[in-house]
Amino acid sequence: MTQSELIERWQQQNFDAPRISKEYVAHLLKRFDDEDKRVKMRVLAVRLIAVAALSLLLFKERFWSAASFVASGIYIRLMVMRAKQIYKTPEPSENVDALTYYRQRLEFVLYVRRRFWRRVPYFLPVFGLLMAGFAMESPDTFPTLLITQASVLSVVIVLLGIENRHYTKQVTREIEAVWSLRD
Amino acid sequence: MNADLIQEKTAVEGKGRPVESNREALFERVLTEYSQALARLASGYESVAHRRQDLLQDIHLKLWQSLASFDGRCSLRTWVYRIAHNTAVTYVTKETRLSRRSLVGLEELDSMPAVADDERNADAQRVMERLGVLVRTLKPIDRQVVLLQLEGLQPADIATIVGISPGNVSIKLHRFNDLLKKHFTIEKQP
Repeated sequence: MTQSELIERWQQQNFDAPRISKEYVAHLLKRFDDEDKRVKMRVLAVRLIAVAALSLLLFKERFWSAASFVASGIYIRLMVMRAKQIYKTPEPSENVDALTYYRQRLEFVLYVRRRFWRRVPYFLPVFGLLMAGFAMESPDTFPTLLITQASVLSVVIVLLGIENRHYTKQVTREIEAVWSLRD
Repeated sequence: MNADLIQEKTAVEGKGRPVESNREALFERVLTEYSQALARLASGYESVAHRRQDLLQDIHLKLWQSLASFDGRCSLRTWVYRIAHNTAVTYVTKETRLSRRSLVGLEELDSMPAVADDERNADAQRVMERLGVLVRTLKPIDRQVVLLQLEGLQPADIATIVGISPGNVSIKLHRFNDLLKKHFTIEKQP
């Protein structure tokens, strides 16, 4: 088999032709827009119910712990919604070549990763809320609990930071390598 | 200016964006001329049939949306391949991240051992399956170069679509051709 025969065979492959027309595409776009809003509302309601149910299961007869847990859940949800609005994934731009597009995507990943430390303080209120709940329930054991929880959290943040730094370096190298193909 | 480009320029109203009927006409043209090419392109990104159909549907949606701003400054073919590959790259990046599968460049594939003789001489169906697997292990840029070559595009056209220099396209194609010789029975062109 010659190389041109191989290419010819590739082009002769018979895949299921996509059953798509312009009417179908227009219908899909409209349906996605309408459904998107409905699905978002439904997901939000389900998540709120799930957080409330979980807090009741975890903290039976412990009102303040349950309340702080629910409040933290709502706060995290709001933070995620805000982050999603800020970090919008770049859409395939019109008339942008593949290399530029790929670079844009990698730069977006880098942008999100580089803002990692800026996001950390936003989660301090969650920690504060949970700790406040525990302090109200059991003031005697609270100092020990606070020290333990803060230590664990610090270790987790440091580990995440190390992983983040490693990944950021890797993506930066990839951007440089990808862009060098332009010349 | 090639005939393809002239034809598209006349389909666009003045300097502005195409009117809705032109957008529909362009989309019809995409469906007629590029359906099978897009299906093959999707096969280079996804092997599972139902997921491939989803990817294809996504590509068509993006094409429909993007054709509203098609201004004829490049050929329709270049436009279609750019949008399709960009959509597929988004898909493959997400899939790779989820599956934690790593992709390799042509130069890394080059260091892989050659396959056994009976594999090299397998039937056409098996050869295409193996070629598909080989293509799907490649990193996005390498994969695009390879898929466009398999579609029969010239190196200069590939360079325009992918955005890398013609010299780099040639290097990548040379590596790919070496790979083909290693993994499939390729005779010299008469």
